[in-house]
Amino acid sequence: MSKQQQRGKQETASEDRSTEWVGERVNSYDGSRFVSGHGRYVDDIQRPDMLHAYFVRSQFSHAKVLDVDTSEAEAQPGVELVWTHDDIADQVNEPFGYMLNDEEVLASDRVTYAGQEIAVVVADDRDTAQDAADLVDVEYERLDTVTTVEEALEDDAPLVHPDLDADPENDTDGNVAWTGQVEVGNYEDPLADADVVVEETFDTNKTTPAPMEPHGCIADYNPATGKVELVSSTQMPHLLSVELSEVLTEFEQRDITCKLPDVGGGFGIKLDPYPFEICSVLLSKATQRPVKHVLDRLEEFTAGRGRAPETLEGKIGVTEDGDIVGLDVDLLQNTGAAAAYGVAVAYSSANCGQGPYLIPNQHWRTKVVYTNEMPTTAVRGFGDPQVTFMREQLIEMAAEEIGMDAVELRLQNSPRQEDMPMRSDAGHIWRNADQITCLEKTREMINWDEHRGGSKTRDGKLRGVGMGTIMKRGGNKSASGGDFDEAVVKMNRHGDVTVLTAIASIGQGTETGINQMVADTLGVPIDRVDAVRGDTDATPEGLGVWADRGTIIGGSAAARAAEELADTLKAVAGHMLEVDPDDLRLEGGRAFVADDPETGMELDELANVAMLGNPETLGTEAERPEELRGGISLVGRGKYQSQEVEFVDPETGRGNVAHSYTFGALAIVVDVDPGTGEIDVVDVAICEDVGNVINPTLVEGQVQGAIIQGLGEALYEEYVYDRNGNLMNGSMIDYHLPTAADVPLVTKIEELENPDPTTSHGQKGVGECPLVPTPAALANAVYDATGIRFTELPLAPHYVLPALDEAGLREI
Amino acid sequence: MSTETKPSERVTVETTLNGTEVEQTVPAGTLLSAFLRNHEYLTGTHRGCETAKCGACTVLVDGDPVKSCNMLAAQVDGATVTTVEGLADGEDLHPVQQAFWDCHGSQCGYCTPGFVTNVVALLEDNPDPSVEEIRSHLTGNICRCTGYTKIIESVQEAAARMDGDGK
Ligand code: FES
Ligand code: FES
Repeated sequence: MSKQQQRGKQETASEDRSTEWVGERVNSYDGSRFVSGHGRYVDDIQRPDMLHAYFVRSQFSHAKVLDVDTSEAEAQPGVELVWTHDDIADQVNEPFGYMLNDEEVLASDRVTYAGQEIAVVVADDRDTAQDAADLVDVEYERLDTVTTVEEALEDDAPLVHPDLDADPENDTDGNVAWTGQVEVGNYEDPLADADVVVEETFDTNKTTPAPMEPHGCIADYNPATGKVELVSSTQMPHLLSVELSEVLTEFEQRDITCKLPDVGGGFGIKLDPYPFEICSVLLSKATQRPVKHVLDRLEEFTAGRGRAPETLEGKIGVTEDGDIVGLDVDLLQNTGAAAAYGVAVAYSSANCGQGPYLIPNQHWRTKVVYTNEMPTTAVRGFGDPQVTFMREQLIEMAAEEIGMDAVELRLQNSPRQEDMPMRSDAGHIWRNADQITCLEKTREMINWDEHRGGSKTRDGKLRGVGMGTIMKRGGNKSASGGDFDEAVVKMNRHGDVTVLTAIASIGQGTETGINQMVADTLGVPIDRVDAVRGDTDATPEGLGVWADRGTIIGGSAAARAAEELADTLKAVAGHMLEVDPDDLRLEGGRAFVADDPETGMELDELANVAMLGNPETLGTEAERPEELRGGISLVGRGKYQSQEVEFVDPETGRGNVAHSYTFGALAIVVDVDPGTGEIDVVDVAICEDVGNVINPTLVEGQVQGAIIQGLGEALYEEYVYDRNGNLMNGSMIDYHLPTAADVPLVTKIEELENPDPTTSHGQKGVGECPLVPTPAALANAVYDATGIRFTELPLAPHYVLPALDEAGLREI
Repeated sequence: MSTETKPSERVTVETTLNGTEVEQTVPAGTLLSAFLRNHEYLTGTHRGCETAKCGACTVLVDGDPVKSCNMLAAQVDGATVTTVEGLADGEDLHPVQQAFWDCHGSQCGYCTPGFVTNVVALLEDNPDPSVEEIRSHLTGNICRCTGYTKIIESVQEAAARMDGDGK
């Protein structure tokens, strides 16, 4: 593993860093608690005197709320309060929202999707709250519903938000929440130089990442301080306190302490500030008792948010020789009844829609459209799976059209590592990535040449291979105005280390990687390093986990903090051993002279001496070097602020939207059953350039999990609404999530380690990337097998079989 | 309990829970998952769906894996119940737990207790299962994080460690 250096002063320190832990298959930090049942998720936490909240949710997708009669519910024994919008109106800034202000905490006079919060009951226990919620009588007047983008854009369409100008800076009307564009090169005629133009319209599906642990929180208000402690299953504790303070009129950021419990998966949908969190805070304040709310699975399906379906009308232009010259795309996003992160999903995926290719002329026109469906938001991949589903199919279509192999076409149009760092056509700063090898390795691992062109297996299945590619953002600054994290690494007198970080743990394992980096820098065994995560009273500021930023930004901050502490330890050891601190190395629990390992001391002794700072051991302050006077602190501080990430230009949509980018390719071999329309994924291979790998096991775990999540979305998952906007499959029984029997083992994983020169250890983002190309590669493989181009997700048997029938391929 | 019992009536449940005799009087409608979590404070048994689909609430009743959201506490009267907390021997993890940790068969950990208990039952019956047998045994447990590859590897590793003959 090569070592990347921090800029400036820390370079020398890094050269000496031990590499005992980074790059190793260290067991996950939390794993022993999890396997033994001693995790502590929010629903596991009990507080004395705690109340339980339950929501009354709209039964209709679009209706006026004429009256809410809470009297019967209020009369129930054990019920403390029943609230409607009027009860909270003066305590919240409404409407609110992440980018557009289009949400109410509890519906005032209209509901815009089935599942929306109308009232909340708080009671001594959950069953009582739920039973009482059933007794709240809501009088509705039904309104016409729009559930598709086409309906929503019709001139006389019912309006989801008739009184709302959600984005005053954007000239939108009707059901259009937001519009944007990306303009690159000759954007007015991006296909002018093409010999061949291929066009197709693609429709992606609405899905939920369905973390196994539902959303939930406990709010505990302290009347003496006016502060509230919120333990919430969130991906971003610090940002949550910022965002909640913007909604709650009587709470400043300092009044809201967010604390992370263990979080049972997030995948993006645990980013938004949710009505249940806002209500729990206010209910705790009103009752002066702790209030818990944990969503049940039906609530997760109807109100837990998910991935936005998009319609992508795309045209790609190529020359006869296989140069991609232009891309022209209309992107329509069905964002649901509130945009949440939908606008960011739309603009960042259009900005990155060119993928890992050089495409000199592009024109993207994006529209985010309201409908009467559950709001959508951030989900692993953040819009890239949708645009990649289009782009990678257009590329394989174009390759066929000009008689070129689809991998060759990709290779010809990919950026070269030797040309980096470079600005891409849409303005990304690409650094040190080897996409050529990613493509070649993937082709080799999947046996592309053997499978390509389609074949029939001995048991009569139609076999084919297809590919998709990755150019995925790591980090972003529109969420918070900058992309940064701070970290503290502290040592006690016994030499035990604690890392304090705002990075959340949602299963992805960032803390394990951070502990490895810190252990190496301080030369301590990994089991002497603990992590405190996401407690806004205790951990320094940072933005949480999303956009693959944890290890890049949070990890780099922690590495810097460890360097500062290491410098102090070396200064103390140098003084005691009477050697130059620069000649010292920290490793194996000792500080010693690099060239003379016998000269050294144990770290726990060193920690004790430094902690006490007595003249008996260190001499008087006057006898010490400058840095050991005035108190020796065993607290290291580090901060990482991305200097690379930019705000995209609102006019052109161009700009370096992320800190860094992870490149890669993925290929899939499928067998399509001509009798049933079922698709069996028989092989998957992926090669990505993830920079230096901190922990190969954890990287593999992310890769495998992301691919299978992508396969579930591509093969079966979809929200099915009836004409009235009611969800038809809101349970795990009706919404099929992949099981161990459904999906292949994913073992063909190759990680290239071309380091990112800007991060502490050369690391790049990992967790979201492998999901991005999966639906595209699957559809391409099915085309190779059948000759049928599936342009809609999912590729479920009830769509595939009729198409096979029509093509004369069905066998009975 | 008789089939006439109303959910609000109270019933006494006597069970051997993780090796200890337990007697509790609870409303007759109490689910086993709620009994374990709310009355015995064994919160390792998780709730993911409460519709007998996800397997996060799997426990062993007389050695057989059952979904505790789909069973009344009263139904384990007289039975032996083992939850994920009852598998370890003091600080020593059960070999299945250790293998899930070592092979990274657990990421967020929410599904893990259900998988671990179910796998303990599998290896009891079939000490050397094939990949296909592991897969089909685990269809009642959903994991959203791992994609299952490392779960299957964890099971194989546990099997190898427990009977020492590999695969
Ligand atoms: S909670 Fe029991 S099976 Fe899901
Ligand atoms: S480890 Fe998160 S659901 Fe399985």
